Amino acid sequence: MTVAALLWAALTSIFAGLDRTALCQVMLARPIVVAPLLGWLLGMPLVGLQAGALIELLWVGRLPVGAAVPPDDTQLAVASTLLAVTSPLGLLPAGFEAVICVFLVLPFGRAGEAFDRLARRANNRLPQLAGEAIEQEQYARVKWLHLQGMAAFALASLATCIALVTGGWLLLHGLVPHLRTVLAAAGPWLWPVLPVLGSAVVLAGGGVRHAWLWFGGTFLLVYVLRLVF
Amino acid sequence: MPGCGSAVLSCWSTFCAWCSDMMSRVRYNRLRVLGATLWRSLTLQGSWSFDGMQSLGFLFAMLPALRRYYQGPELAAACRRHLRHFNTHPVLATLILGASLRLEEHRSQGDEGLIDVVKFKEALVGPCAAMGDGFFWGGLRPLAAALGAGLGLTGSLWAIPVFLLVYNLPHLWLRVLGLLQGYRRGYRIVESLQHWHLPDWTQRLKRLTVVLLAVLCAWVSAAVAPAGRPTGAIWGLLGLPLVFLLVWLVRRGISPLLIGLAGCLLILSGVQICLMQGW
Repeated sequence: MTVAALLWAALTSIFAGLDRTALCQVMLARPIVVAPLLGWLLGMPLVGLQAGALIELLWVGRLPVGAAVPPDDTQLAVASTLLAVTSPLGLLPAGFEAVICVFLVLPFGRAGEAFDRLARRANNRLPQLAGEAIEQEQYARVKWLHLQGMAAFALASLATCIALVTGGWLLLHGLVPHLRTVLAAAGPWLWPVLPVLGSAVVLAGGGVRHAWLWFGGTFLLVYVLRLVF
Repeated sequence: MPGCGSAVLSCWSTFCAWCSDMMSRVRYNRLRVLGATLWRSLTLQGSWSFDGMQSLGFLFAMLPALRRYYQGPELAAACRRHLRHFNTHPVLATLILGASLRLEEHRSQGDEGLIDVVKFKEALVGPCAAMGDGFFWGGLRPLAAALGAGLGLTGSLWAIPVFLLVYNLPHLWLRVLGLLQGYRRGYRIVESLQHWHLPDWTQRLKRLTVVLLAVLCAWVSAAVAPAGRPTGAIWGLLGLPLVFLLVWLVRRGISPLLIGLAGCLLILSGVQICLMQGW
């Protein structure tokens, strides 16, 4: 793992972390965008695309509603792409680098929630400070306080990314060398887990009348058509 | 008297030029205020906190307009009004921002109006949050994600522009429209919100997402099914009951993350046993 790769990952992590909550929310932070972007910066966009698609599908039905803080899939995508692209040659079975790295960082998925909560708690003092600034008619300070809030989110994103990359790197170098044969054989069975699970989460979420019928009917139709043609 | 006529004509043309200048200045100022509010609304959640939620972000977005409408103690009072607890969907918040701009503009001109801006905001945050969360997080984003991720799994880099366009075209359109409609209609924006029929669109988008995910799962199942064996096709069909089993587990409250990791361990154990047995 080179210093340049780490720097690109850190920049992507901050940039995407801001888009996730604090800035714009034009979905540049979604795994399907940020992972191939980092992959492209590191020279392997297709590895990033595979990691991003799998993570995107796992949390396709997750809603960031109200004060609920969802798992940080953005940083999971950044960390798994960085590990997949920079892993030593031959350590991971060819073609399955992305899916294995996704599973390596998944156990640390909750770290993002912790750092996000910390940032939001740190921001708790800002409205009060803004109130004091208004009393003193220092309106420019209101802007700076708002920007401080964004800085807290940027730091939380970076901290999450560092935690995920560290955890994933330890597993990659501590566990994977002992499981290379099994992982090579299990690769084709591992990648469908996340899309199927994500679909199940969407169906379980409800909200669609006769969802089982729509899902089951389409599944059978497409499956039969795929077999015939 | 011809000199008098030309003087009147000259006065008239000067008056017209003055009016035109004033009109364009007023429009320019309004456009500048609306532009600044729209731009700043993109950072509405920048200082999100558990206490005030989007309160500071809302004030930050309103500040250019408030500084234009008020001065001195009135400005401080207006800022305090908008620093209160606020939380709604970030996209539909532009609708409340636009309407609040209009209400504050009227108030600065001495017209208190039918409804207080604070009460108006309190009344609208709930419906905007419910409709926005349902439409954007529950309908549009999963649809864009299913399309993008489906393309991504086939290895096509078109996944990225497709995802971004499907989500952002309605997203940015509703952001701009919300602000302009809110500003134009003031507290009557509630009628516009009803006319958009967002809950109906949410239902359609959700159904389309379920169909797309079914296509994706069928494709995945067919790809995993053992090729070249007569029973391979039957094995692939097991994907459907597997999805329903996972739905049952998720509905029992088991974390999807836990299910995913357990599934991974199960597969690794199964493969290890097969390798040991030489299958």
